[in-house]
Amino acid sequence: MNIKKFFCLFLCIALALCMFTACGGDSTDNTDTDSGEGVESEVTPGGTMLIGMGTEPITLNPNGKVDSNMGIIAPLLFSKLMTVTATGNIVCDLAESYELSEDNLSYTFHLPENVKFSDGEPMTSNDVKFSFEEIVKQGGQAAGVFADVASIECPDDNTVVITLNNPNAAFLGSLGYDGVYILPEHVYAGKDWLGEDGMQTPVGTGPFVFNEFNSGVSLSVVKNENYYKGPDLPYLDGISYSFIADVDTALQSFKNGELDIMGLIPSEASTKELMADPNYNCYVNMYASRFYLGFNLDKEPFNDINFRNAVAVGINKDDLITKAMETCCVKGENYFSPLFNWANDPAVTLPEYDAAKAAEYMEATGLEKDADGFYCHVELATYNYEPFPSMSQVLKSQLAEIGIDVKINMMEYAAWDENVAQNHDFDMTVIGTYIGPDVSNFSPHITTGGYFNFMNYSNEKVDELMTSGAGLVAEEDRAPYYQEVCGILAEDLPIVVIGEWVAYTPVPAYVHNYPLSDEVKDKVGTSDMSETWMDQQ
Amino acid sequence: MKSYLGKRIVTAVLCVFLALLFNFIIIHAAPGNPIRILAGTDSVNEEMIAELTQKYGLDQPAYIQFFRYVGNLFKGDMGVSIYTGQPVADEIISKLGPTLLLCLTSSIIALILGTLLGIFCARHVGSALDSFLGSISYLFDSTPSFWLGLMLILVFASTLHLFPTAGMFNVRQNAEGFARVVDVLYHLVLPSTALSLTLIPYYFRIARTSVIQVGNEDFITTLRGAGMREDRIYRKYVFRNAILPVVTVFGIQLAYIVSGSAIVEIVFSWPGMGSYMMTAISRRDYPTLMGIYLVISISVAVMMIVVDVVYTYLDPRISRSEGK
Repeated sequence: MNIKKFFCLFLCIALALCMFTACGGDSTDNTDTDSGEGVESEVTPGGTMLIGMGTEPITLNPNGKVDSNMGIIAPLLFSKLMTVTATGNIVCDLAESYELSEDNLSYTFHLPENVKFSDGEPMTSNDVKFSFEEIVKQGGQAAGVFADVASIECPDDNTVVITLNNPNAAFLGSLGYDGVYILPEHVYAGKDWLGEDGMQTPVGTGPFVFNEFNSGVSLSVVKNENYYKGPDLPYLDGISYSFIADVDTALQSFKNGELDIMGLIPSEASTKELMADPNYNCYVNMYASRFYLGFNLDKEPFNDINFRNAVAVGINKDDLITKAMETCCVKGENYFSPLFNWANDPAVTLPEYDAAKAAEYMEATGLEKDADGFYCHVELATYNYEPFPSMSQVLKSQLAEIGIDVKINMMEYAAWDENVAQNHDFDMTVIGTYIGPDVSNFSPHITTGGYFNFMNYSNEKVDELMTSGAGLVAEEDRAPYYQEVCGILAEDLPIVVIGEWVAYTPVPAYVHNYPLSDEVKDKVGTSDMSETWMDQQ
Repeated sequence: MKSYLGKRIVTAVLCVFLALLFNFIIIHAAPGNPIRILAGTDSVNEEMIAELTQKYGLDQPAYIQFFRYVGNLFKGDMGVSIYTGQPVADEIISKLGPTLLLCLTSSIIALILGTLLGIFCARHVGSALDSFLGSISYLFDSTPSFWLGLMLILVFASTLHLFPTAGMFNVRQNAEGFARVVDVLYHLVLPSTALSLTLIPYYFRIARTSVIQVGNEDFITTLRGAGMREDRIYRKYVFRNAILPVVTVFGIQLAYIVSGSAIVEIVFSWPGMGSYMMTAISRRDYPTLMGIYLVISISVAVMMIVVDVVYTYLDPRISRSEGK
């Protein structure tokens, strides 16, 4: 065969393979979810797990800058006094136990003995005091958590007493969230956490020890042989994060077995495909994150309750979720997340779809239809990544049916933040955002002047109730305040809650005790891999 | 020649400064505030935003920020990233290596293959292979690089399992020494193929056109009339004259490819300047973006001068005309 013929043949084969692969792919309508692992197997320790990550961390200091990627890596290298599990429970992490004083002001945490940092130095209560005081001093991401702390005392090496100025129900949960890790004073003192020292080699008490960071490529950790919850834990020898920005590439790496955990959220179609594959367990987890539609209450016709009511009952959430958000959302039923169901008033539910009622509300606005049959033309501002573009398209068609012409304005987050959150230059917007780990974290969204209250909603009673609710500790004492807020929100409708953000995480069947699995989801944090193991290495 | 070079360097410095100014205006005019993105959405408040804004000097008027930046550049300081807190110069240097490896490999492959195929087709104008390669060149020219990259992954990584899907080396094995070199080359195959396939059409068409053009020049006809052998005419006269436009394109493309390879780098998770730039854009990391654009501007300016110098060596007529 001469070169000319060989070349032609090669090109033909390559093109044919491209066409075949592009057009191929399994299709299935089996949407069963498998969120359990079935029979408990004997643990096989060892092996290095490879996990995908969209972008690399911007800091290696877990208490410095806000960084969602470091938020995933930090629980492997460091410990917190408390942690928040996948089910939303606040459980002890480094602390063995804790007590709350009768006046709800003093938390006493008891630390285990003989805990060592990864550099071999002992961890004492002074390191806890140093970490929390330094977070405030350095302006770390969780500085606000300690704003109302009166004192931090260390009666002995294994006891820390934190006293607040006022009771604060959200405080314990905040000690289990991001940015409150215990750092060794002898390593982190005198360093600029938010500046160039942010990339200093991490030293903590977590189940793993920092190994290597190749910028743009990977970050790896290895087993901490002195882990205080040992000697068996962690089961894995190490974990490596591989930075893969493109979701489709990460998906192919995952399906090819190059990644043990994909790490990025696959597209809806790919999620369904993986859910149907018996080689994967697909864990479904609900977070305290919600999708909602907000109105610019300073503008007409959005300041008219009839218009807001029309939108609220004009949106068919079931249809919206089926068409655009099936693998990331479940329908919302109440004004607070189901994870805080104690705060919801059972008598106050979210508006249900009712086209006839929507038409009545639109008539009541006093607006008149134009030649195209629309009462008004509005703009819907949203983000440029899924599910928001698909959501917006469905909302556009649903609202057109009740006479509202929607023009979609999709933006990257930075532009959305400037136009909507800062400049208040929008009509309606649809967002998805985390509202936890405590129910009081809904305050910035609905109280006067709140950081996320881009609607400019203001109701003195809501402000007062949210403040009162946050100042109590027991759920039964707090519930009446939040339940009253539900009633007011139902009347004022500053937002239309669409649903709860859920994550479908496909994990190969050879991975056991994944943090979202039934076996451990009630006792470890969502990124804590200390009990995870693989039977295929 | 020296005065010509001097003039070119002065012009290049001016161009780089204007590019810097233009980029500064564009970056700051784009909606989005890096501090608000940095602060995130948890436990954030206006006091924190104000403090961070002051810390990074973004509370100053834009013109002060610009002149302060330029002043620092003269001291060799490209600033620190708002996000990582690391010196921008260090970060760019660490990203340049992988980008240059990918870009140079792809450009050289594209230059050689594209030019050879172009010359081959120019000598067989109208043949079936000429028509076929011409069509293929348009096909690859119009194919989005991300799609091409994904197709290569689907065929050669997912279906045939011949090459890895992404990355620069095998993170699980983390080989060292010569094994690492082999591993990097192995990972380089698919991204460089994707990038080469999008570049080959340029060289192919330019080489083909310019060989045909030179082949139709009067002096070539004279040589033919004088009875010189066709192979000798092409080797000695046509190729030497036809190579000039290819060299120009190669030089210019090499300068632009640093930013142009961004999509391929993202698709294959290649840890270079491209993906670094895209992340900086989405985060509005002003110092990082200014640093990247500065490097791109300088590389374009330098490559233009290099191309001109190389040109004068390849074609003595140019240096003579410059001398007049």
